[in-house]
Amino acid sequence: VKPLLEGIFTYANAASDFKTAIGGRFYFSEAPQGATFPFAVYNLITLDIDYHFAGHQINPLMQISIFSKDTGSVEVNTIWGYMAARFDDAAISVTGYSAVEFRRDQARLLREPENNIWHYATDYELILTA
Amino acid sequence: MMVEWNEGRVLKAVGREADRMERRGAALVAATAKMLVPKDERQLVGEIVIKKSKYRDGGLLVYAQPPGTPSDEYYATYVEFGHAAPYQGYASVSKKTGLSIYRLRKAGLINKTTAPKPFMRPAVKKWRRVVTEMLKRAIL
Repeated sequence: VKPLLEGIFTYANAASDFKTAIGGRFYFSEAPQGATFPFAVYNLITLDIDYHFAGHQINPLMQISIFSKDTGSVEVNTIWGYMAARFDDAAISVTGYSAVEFRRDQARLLREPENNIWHYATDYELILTA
Repeated sequence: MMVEWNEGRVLKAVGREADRMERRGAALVAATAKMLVPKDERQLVGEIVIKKSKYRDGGLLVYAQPPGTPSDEYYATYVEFGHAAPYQGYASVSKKTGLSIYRLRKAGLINKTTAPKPFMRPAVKKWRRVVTEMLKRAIL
């Protein structure tokens, strides 16, 4: 799992509109206390392993969350567009795996009304072949 | 030899079998989701239910906190997807107050981002292929 998480982190931190839009604030699991908005957080949701005679495949489900504190939803939607452009069918290199498929699954825009925070949560289904 | 094809009766029987498998599939997903609810959020267990879709032929839906649930409408979503407001030292605060982290956050008592603790998506993913296969077998 570590090479996968590192691969995603490296990919997200390479120069792109997505990185610029979130100011390079891309975190694993949780954002640190007092993190400046907007930022993005990625999480591992599930991890299935299929063994076959020639090796194995891992099939993780990842969640990438974009958080914005803008009054309207323009910022969060713009960043989401950059994120989709960057991650949809991304060619991410993961140590130990020859092929990595990165497919967008579901996406949902959530509102945390008590704090006026937008949360765009997107799932990606990955297939990594060893 | 005469072959009689009673289409209506056959289709009804297939439909009944597909419905039975659908109910079984929904029950598997709901039971697994209940098992995966985090320990400190157990009250959600009683709020995972199976409902019939309001759309014709919409099938069954496994809901966490369906519309009309009396408790906090955002609670299940916050647990499943995480949220922006932080948590720090929540365990002790939660113990003292008897409130879950999500309720503490809502009350503004804690202050740091919280990672998702998914229970619905892993349940769906675990059974997706099996339920599809069950339905296929029911109608073939």
